[in-house]
Amino acid sequence: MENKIKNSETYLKSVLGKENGFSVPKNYFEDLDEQIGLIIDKEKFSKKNGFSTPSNYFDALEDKIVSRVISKEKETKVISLRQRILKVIPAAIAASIALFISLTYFNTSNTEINFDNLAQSEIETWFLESSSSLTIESIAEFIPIEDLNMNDFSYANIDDEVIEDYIISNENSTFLNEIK
Amino acid sequence: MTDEILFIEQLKNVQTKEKAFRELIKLYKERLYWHIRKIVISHDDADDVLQNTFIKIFKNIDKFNQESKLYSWMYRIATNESITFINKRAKQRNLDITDYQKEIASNLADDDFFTGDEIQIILQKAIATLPQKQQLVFNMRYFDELKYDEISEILETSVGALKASYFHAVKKIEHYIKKETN
Repeated sequence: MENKIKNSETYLKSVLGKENGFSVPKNYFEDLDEQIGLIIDKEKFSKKNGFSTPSNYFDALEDKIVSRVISKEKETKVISLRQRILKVIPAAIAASIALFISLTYFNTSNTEINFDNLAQSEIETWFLESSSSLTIESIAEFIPIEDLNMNDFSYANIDDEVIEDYIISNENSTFLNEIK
Repeated sequence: MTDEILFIEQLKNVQTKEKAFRELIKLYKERLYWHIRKIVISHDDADDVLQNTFIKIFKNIDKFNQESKLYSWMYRIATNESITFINKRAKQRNLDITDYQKEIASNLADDDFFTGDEIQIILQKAIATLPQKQQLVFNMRYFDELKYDEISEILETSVGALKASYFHAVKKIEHYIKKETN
């Protein structure tokens, strides 16, 4: 395949040469600048761009920049990598000893965290705080349908007042949807 | 050229560095300032970027490998610093870079350090509509009158591509100005 392409290229080159057939007027590229320059009316802008600076801005510039460079150099005293590593070693040793001691001697009561360990109040707080993002539908998604028993609802003791409240606070369309 | 080599050596030598650097700022401050100013537009921003550019030059002079001319290298740093600066500003304002540039060009009339008339504001607005590369090429060629070879070294783009960019830029600016002034 590659050979075929090469052969074709060699053939094309032998027939066409390196030229692509396009040409430009004589001295086109040399004169291009002037031609382009003429397009924009130079008189109109006279190469001024309208920008100006505060007076004497450039006079004080060397001192301003040099002083910044010098102060920066002083601030950022170069610390070699070796120096940096040597500085860190004692701290690293101390930290690892402390970690070893704390893991060996103070970590005896390692209790596993699971749902049963959670205090009821913790769960309630979490539920209240995140209730804005939790909808009835999203909670229902997590309850498996097999765990539900129709009798739980039929014989549940629900006060008349609660039922009245429910009817008052919900729209008729909601009930129609539930009947379906 | 030998002068330049000598000068670079002075810039790299700890003993002569500060004096040579002072000389370097003196030589290039205005040229670099105007180059930066045309990209960032406001004087205060140009002042910030110019100072940062010289600080970067000072810090990195030891890394300058003399593959290009000193001034091309400095121009390249100034260009990169300016573009980084306006990109950061646009991001802070949550604007697209072109929209940001159009906005600052539109506010030029209220700028204390802009004394241009209406047609010059139109020109700046026209430049703001161009892609970044075309803006740079246009400013460097039209205003700074740099040669294509020099621009090629600064922007690391071929002369042919630069000529094409310049041509497109000028055509678009011409079209914009004609539309706005008629």
